[in-house]
Amino acid sequence: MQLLCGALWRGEDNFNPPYRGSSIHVPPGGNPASLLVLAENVLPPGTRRQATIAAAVLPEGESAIELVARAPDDVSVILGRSETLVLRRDGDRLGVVRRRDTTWPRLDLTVVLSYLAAAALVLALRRAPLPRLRARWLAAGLPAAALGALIAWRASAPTPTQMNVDANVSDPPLVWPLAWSLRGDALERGLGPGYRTLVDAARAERRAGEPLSLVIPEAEGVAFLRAAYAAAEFRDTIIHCDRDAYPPGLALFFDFDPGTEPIARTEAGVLARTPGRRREPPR
Amino acid sequence: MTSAAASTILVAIAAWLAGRWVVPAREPGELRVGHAGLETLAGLCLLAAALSCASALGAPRAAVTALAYAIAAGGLLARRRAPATPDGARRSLAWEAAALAPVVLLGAPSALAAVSGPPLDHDAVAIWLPKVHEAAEVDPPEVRAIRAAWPHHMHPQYPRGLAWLATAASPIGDPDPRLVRLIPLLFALALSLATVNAAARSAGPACGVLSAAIVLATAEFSRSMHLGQADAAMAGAVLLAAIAATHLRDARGGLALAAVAGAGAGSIKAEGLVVTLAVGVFVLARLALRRDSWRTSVAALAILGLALPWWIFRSHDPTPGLLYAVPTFLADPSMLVERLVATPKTLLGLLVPPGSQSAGHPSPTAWISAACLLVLLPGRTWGAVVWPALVLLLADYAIYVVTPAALHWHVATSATRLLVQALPTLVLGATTRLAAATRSTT
Repeated sequence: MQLLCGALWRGEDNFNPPYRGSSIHVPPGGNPASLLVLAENVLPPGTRRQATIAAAVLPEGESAIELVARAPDDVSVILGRSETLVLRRDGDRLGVVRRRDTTWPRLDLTVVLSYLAAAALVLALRRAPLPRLRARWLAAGLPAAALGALIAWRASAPTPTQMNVDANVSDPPLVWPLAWSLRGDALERGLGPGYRTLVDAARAERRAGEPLSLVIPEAEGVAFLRAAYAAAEFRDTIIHCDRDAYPPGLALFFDFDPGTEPIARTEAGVLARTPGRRREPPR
Repeated sequence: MTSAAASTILVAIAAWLAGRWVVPAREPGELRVGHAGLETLAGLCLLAAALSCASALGAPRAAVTALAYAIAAGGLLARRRAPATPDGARRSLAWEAAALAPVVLLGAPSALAAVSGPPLDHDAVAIWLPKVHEAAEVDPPEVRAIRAAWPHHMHPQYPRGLAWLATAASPIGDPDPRLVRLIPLLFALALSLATVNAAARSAGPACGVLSAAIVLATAEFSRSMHLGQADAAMAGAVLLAAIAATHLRDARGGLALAAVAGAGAGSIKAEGLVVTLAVGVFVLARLALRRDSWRTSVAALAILGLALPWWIFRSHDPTPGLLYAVPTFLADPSMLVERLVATPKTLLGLLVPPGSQSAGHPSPTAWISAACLLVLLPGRTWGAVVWPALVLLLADYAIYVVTPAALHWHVATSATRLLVQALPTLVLGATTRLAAATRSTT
């Protein structure tokens, strides 16, 4: 038997990370020479991504295919999220011989005991004569101690930058630093120098009805915020979170240079008419 | 900055007036500022539900905005019979000032951050800002808008209550983007005052001030109240439901208030539907037990119904819902067992981050919530009612178990924020429970 390892991973969707390759079937009425391997079962039927294994790629006889789910952040294999399918090729026909859930974890006894311990704690606390154990100082002392600990926690943190507080990187300080700004062009301050200039240039350059693309390397960071604000201003644009795939035409590139002749360039990005880029889907 | 602050004050006044529809007149033991906070919180929930309902039924922006101010004007004219206040039952001016202290001292940095800068948090920009822009369009939202794919409009299936509050705050033209941050801030400040008020009428104002200060000092809550996320607003709706249920236990009315909280929660965020349904069951159960009259119960159910049009509208949305979990688990029951086992272990990482996450630190919200639950676990005693928060947390837990998304990702991105939604109610319940237990032993 030959072992083929195939990594099935949806790398383009941050919000539905890979779960596991879990099922396999021959589509009813479909081509019996191919087999659909569902990369995961996160999405409802009809929207899930599918990987097709052509019969020709498999040798005659039995083969095992390992479906591997990967973590979205570091693409490491998620333990317990992989399984092996044994397939048989007989000429043009493929069939599933059996599934081997070889990498599933055993039931974790410690966690089961934790469940039981939590239940016992609840029962014990409900039956314990706690009111007799409490003292008057507990009523104010415990909450006051908690408040003190929380304030000490916040006070011990170094003063963050205003941008980090606005962008959910840091907790707000306990006291507003006098050096922080309360006025001015907040949008320009938050989205960086050159943002407003670039958006104004795009508005001046854009012809009536012309599509405008907003291209950013990935859906995070300041580039994403700039694109989201630009999308809110133009209303009829599309954000492309991919530096290697975007349509031709007028485009605002935030935080990277596409390498084409720019119409305007600032610290926030580049405005250009681009021939577009296409990327072949992964096989 | 001035226009954004003025718009926020406008919507705060409108909410305060709208809250007079459902909040009973101030009673002995309540603080003036605390009662005003409760009215504002109730008004925000009522307006979020009513405006969301009107827009889902197809009303254009002008009509929805007019509705907001009509409700506020009606609240101004609403007559409420003030109970007789015995001498000595009025709170002194010092307690009024003390009630404001947590808001002024601990809420100020968040308030100044919200009013001085645009929303830059990922969720505020990707989820909530587009909804404000959609609400500000002349046409009501269409199914097309719901079906729009990320990243044009992330989580398009979420309710639009907060977006409509921001739009009502700015009746003409495009709303200031800062309103995305300021409206949840308003909820947070109102819930702080309502917390003081709720504790003041049962355990004393000092207990209330302490509760509000704990909530506002918690790092995740202080973040949530100014970033433009919806969790602080949801926390307000959950707290309002708890306060209303507490009023009911004291036989002082409040079923309409609970219904407003339920409708508001369902119009603010998706998980708020759990509170809506829980309050609905609560109303029906009280009706079955003959605790309330038909008239009162039907009125409460009608208020809860304000949340329904959006959810009917949302049912056209083809994006993944919980139902896709069912065929998944039917196909592979072992997955359910594994999730059931792994979920507590993953959640424990909030209290004690695992070794592999050495950069992470324990979540203060998780620790405070766990401590509150420990105080609340023993048998039922006098204090604030907390079941709305517990129902919400149990539903969150169930979703962690049944949603076949990677658990570590699921918990890392949402667990703390979900706890923030329950935090004020848990803290209020725990502090009043401690005060009650001490009182019962002396």
